[in-house]
Amino acid sequence: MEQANIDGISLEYETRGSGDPVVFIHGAHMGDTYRPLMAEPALKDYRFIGYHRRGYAGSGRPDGPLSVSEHAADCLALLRNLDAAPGHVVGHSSGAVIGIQLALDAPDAVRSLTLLEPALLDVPSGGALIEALGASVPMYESGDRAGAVDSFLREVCGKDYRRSVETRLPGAMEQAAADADAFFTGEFPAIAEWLFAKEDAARITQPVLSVLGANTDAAIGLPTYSEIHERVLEWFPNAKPFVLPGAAHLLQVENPHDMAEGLATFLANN
Amino acid sequence: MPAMFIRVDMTREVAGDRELANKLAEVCPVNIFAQAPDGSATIVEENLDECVLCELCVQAAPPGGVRVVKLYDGTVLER
Repeated sequence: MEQANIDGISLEYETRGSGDPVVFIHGAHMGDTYRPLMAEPALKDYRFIGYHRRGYAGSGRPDGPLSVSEHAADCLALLRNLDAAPGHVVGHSSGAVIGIQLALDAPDAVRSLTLLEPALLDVPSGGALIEALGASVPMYESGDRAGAVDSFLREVCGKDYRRSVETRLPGAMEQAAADADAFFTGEFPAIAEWLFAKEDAARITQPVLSVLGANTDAAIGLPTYSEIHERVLEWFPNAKPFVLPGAAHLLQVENPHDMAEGLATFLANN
Repeated sequence: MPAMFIRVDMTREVAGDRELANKLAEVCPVNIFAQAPDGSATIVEENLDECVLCELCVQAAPPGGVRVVKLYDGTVLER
């Protein structure tokens, strides 16, 4: 991977292809979840940019907890550094929240926004999911970093999540345990504190693709992400739905082919 | 807004069968099927991309009666 050093912030990134830029903002714990998507032929006509957010893998370690806005500012700085703004922004889970913030803070830098099951947990069943996810915190605080990461991912991705991770992202679980501080001391509280209302969504006029895994509700035993999907379609003025078959919350890792085909269709129309 | 990802085809026989039209409207979890005033089945275009690919409509209809087409890769769900 390459390093971009921007105003004292170091972000490692990689690019593939040429054409209109697409930047992927990863979600919690695993910084490489863009890679299965990046490798798909359907996206070969785009300049696909994947990067590790601060606190992940070889990117710089933040001095303290980062807010969602700070993560969005990092992404914007990278886009500008790579002369890739405006770009199509694709965000997964907490990364989708960062993408939304980026669209609010720098609308001129965002050509379209693809939200892969964004962590907009203020929905009716969101409290139950947050409660389940919270079980990982005492494990982390007791020093069981790998156990805490596994507990969190089992709750948000379903108990079979490791199958696709071990196949498509070898080494990701070890890296996630090494990067656990970034999530538990910064990202988790930042996402919980982030405020987003219907009025904010109304300001985002770019085309939005809301992606829901066809298996997510069944995998986690809660309708949280269906509720979020419906909320995105209701709140964002220019949102389209896409239901990804054969996938739960690790959408682009579990079914990168269909995700890439669907994303390419959306990008070609926007 | 036209559908971007999903198309649903049904035969005239399926569309004109009132009992089947009612069944299709019942089984679809995202309301892609509706019943017209004359009882025939119609497709609700604005709901097509909400399709969760559950295939309940495909299974509810006779073989070849309903086809779900994934426009983004050309795959067809049918029986």
